Amino acid sequence: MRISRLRLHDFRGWSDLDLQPVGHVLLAGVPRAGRSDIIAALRRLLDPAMIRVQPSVGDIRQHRAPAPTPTAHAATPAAEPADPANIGNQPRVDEADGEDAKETNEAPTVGTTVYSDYAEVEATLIDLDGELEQLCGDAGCLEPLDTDGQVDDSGNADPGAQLGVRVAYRVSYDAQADVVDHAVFFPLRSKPQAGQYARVPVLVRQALPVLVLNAARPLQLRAEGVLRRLIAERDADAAAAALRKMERAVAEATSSLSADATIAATVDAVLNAGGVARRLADAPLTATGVQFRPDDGSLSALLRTVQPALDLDEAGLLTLANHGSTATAVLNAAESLLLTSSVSGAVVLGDDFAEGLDAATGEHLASALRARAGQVWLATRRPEAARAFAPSELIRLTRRGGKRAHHVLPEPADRKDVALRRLLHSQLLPALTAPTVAITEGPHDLTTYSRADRARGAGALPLSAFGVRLISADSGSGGGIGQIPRVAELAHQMGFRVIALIDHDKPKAATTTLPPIEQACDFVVRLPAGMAVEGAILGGVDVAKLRAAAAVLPDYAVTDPTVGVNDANVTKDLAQLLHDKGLHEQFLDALLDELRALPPVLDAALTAVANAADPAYAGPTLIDLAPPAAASGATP
Amino acid sequence: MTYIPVGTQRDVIACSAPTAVVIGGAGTGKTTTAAAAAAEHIQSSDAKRERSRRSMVAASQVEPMAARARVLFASFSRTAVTQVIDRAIDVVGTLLDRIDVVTFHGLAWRVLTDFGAQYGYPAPLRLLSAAESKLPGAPTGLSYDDLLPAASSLLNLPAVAGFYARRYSLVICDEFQDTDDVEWAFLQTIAPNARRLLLGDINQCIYADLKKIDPALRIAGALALPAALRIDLPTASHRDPTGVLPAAADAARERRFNDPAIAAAVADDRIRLTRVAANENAHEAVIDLVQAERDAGHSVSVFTHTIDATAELSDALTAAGIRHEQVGFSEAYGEALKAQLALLKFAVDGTTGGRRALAVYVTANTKGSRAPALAAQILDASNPSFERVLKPVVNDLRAAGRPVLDVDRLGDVIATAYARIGTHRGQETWAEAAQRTRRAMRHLANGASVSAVEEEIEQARAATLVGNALPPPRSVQVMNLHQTKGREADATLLLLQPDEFHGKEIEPFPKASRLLYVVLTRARERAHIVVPQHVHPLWRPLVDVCDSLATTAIHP
Repeated sequence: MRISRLRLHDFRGWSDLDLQPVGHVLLAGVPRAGRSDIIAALRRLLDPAMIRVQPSVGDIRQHRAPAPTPTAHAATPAAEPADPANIGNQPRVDEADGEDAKETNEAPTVGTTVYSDYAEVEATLIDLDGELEQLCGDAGCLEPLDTDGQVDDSGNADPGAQLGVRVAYRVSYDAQADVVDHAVFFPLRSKPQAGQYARVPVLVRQALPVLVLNAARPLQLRAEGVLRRLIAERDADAAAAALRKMERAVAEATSSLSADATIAATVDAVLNAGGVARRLADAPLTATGVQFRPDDGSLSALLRTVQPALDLDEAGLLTLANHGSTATAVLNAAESLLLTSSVSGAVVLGDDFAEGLDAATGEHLASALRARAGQVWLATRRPEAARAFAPSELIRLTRRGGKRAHHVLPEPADRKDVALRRLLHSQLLPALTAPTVAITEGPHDLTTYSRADRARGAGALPLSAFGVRLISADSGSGGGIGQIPRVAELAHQMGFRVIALIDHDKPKAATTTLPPIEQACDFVVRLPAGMAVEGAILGGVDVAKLRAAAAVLPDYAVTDPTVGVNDANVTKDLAQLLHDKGLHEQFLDALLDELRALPPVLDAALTAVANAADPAYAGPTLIDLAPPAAASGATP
Repeated sequence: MTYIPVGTQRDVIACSAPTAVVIGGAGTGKTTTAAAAAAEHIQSSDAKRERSRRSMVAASQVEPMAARARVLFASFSRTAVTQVIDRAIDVVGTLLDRIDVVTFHGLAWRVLTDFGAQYGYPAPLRLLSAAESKLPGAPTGLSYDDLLPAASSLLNLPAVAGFYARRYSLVICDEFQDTDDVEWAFLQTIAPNARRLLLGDINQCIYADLKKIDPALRIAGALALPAALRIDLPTASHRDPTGVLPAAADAARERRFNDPAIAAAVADDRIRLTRVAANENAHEAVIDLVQAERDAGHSVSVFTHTIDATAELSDALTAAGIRHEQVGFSEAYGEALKAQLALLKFAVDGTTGGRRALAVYVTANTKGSRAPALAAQILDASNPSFERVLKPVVNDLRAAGRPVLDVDRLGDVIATAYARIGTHRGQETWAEAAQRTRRAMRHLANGASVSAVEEEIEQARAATLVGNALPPPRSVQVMNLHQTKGREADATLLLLQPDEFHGKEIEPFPKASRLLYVVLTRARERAHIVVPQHVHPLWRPLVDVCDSLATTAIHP
């Protein structure tokens, strides 16, 4: 089974969302952008475990009532400054959240939040397995699909169309009566506005091949456990017989325990102590009337107490809990995999995927689930999981000014696009949860700025604190300033705020290279005139400090170029050497030791990037850095 | 009653031939055996499916699986099949969920409502009843005759055909010898590769002239299908294990009226003749006999020759306080629902349409190819006495609906409306429908709009018209002769009329004699024949021989 379309309306933080995934789905993005809400919506609608769950008013979007003060609008900025939404691929913005966005810029009105009338989740299910198709057919709710797997309600569907079904979940809140009500229904035969629902029968909901990954304890024999389900799938009768056998054996053991002479005598003594227990029953109570049992004596209680113990090393058998969180997470993953393999074409739902797993296991699990499931819907804040997915399967969620939006890469248009997609894995994936990327020209620029960023002192926060991730425009072909617009376009398609951090060493070329970069990026931070990244390291730094730092170069089998060179040429020669040998980071390291502070141009560049990353930034989009003040003994 | 298959019944259950033609006389358990075969088919498919699923699970390699086995059980009368399956419930059990018991038209209607919207039959589909078409200015919709061709066109689309091919692995057709060419072709379009179990009995074909069909040819055609297998069921009747009535029925069909079997049945009081005295009302005789059989704890089926006679008898039974079901009046039941809905909508929001709905209901209770005069008068308000009695009903409807809706009171006004506006036929059906309408009106009590009630009633009407739903069953049933097939009761009562028409056949009535067979094989205990002064030659020799063998009761 697959979900070819998912629509949310006023569900939790989403006012409107319309996803039409082409394959598997990995939901990633900035925090609080609605990943978990999407998985929760799918569970409400499709998870058989939800059949007996009560509705929750918390599923209905809550929002501030429009502020009554007429002056409030005057205080609102005319528009969001330099909204990146107008560049490149339009992100699908959650429009109805506009009022929220407005109010985040206003003085919040206190205490006037209201619930929407209802929340609704609708999914189109396709590739139905044989039995599910027939069960939905019983309800007369199958619909022909178009080639994209979407319901074709044109009245003129393809005679050979595949059949799918739409199901929906609606939870509504009657504020006056304070009543929450919900229903899972077939929209085709329902009129929710008129209160008429063609409810999805329990039989159909139970037949949905939907598996939910959870962080519960693995290897559980109790009824809710995945292991128990796996056992039952294999041979339900044999499983029941084995459990009954254990129940009988435990009953025998506990009765012989209760009948033990010493124990019975002691129990009798307790019952007779001072006649206190005499009035418990009509006849006097003796030890024969007292039996010891595990918990309440039920099989389920017994199975709760039976926990897995693992013999992993010389410590011998230890209960799973004592082996640490990794063992639990790995076994959990293994169970999920086996369960996925036991259900044909399952839709696998997982929130906070790979939490608790090491990166390699996380990626492996994602890839194995993806291979065995009909469709996976995983939400994660672990970027490595994304490596298991095709670029178009990644849905990045963002939140900007209170508006939630989702971003999906379109299919690559040409070979350059295909090459660019490689950047996704190498550069953009680690940035998935950051709102902003700052694109540098190439690998040396990236290492230099990254090293500088790590060195920012107590007074200046690192770029990560501003939600900025530094990346390079290198897609394996060496990068360069000309590559930036394409990388920027890719980043925009993924919903990033995009800042370019570029050199300014080729003034002639700038007339042709700069406009496309400005066009493709939200903001451009440009080094002072005449400077490349080497200049940013060296510019404005005392020559003596430069010479001292250069002393580290022979460690890398490179002759110190400052030896025997007059002060006027130190900067130029060092710049040339750094450029030729690519020892930016190593030299910067040494220089930082000497300076105990960031070189001024690097500092200015990072500060400018941090400023531009602020959603409230309202300055120019091209930020040209000023030349550094001349340092003593140096010619800039 | 536990069903234990005997003789060739076992062969039917175990059969795996692509087509099995099962031939058996009345009461030989064709339908029960077929139900058991359906259960067996489902159970063995389930077992096979579970084995395959387990081996895939053990190998951690689960491939997509086909749907669980489902069976289509098509017949002409849903009541008949439901009756039998209800009795065979210990055979079929919960598997009944996976046996779709449908009439041909019911199945066609389902195909149209489930898949028509995307392929040229936009929702909401409207079913035009025969009564509606008889009145001028009828709304548009699919007529009864349109259903099968329209559904067949959908079944020719790969998307729809594929769904049914995946759905059914066994198709059973009851009384298949009675299918006409359209029905037979329709049957072939559903899951063509599914196994076929065709149940037939040439002796029960009482529609041959009516439907212009040749049952012998149909059976021969079925047997000519590839790898078709013929299975004849043992003649013992489960209805009458003594074999007395079946033997008499066989003799009567072959017009061997001096056969000892008939004499034995009369002597045994298994066939009882009651003559209606001249100038006496036959209905009184019927009422007394029905009452006596009910007092003995017997279920009773009363057969008349025409729809009109059935309707008149039904009114007489209602007047005598005998609750009963008018079989074959599903159209009247459906149109009663529709008329009640129209009155309801008028009361709630003044929607017009009540006149037409009432006229249609009156038409549905009358035989003939044209609407009765009264229906036309209701439509154009030209009958002063009708208008006089209508007025207070209209006022009461208005008062119950507006300005404040009184759901209970409105239900009462609607339930009694038909009795107040005339003594027309169909009181019993109206009363039955009123109960259904009242149930749908609960939506109003729950605060929903009238559209919710409308939707439910429209669905109930359509389901009734195509035979997917039935009025509630009663222990006394009244029907015309052509609805008797597949039904059984403890006692049957055939009411003959002086003016019967049986086509152009003359003695020895080769086709019409099947009627004698059918009516004599419906009873488990006793077959009554109530005769007027003049008897049609079809029945006369049987009546005469009964007369000569026993002291015929004269009523009163």
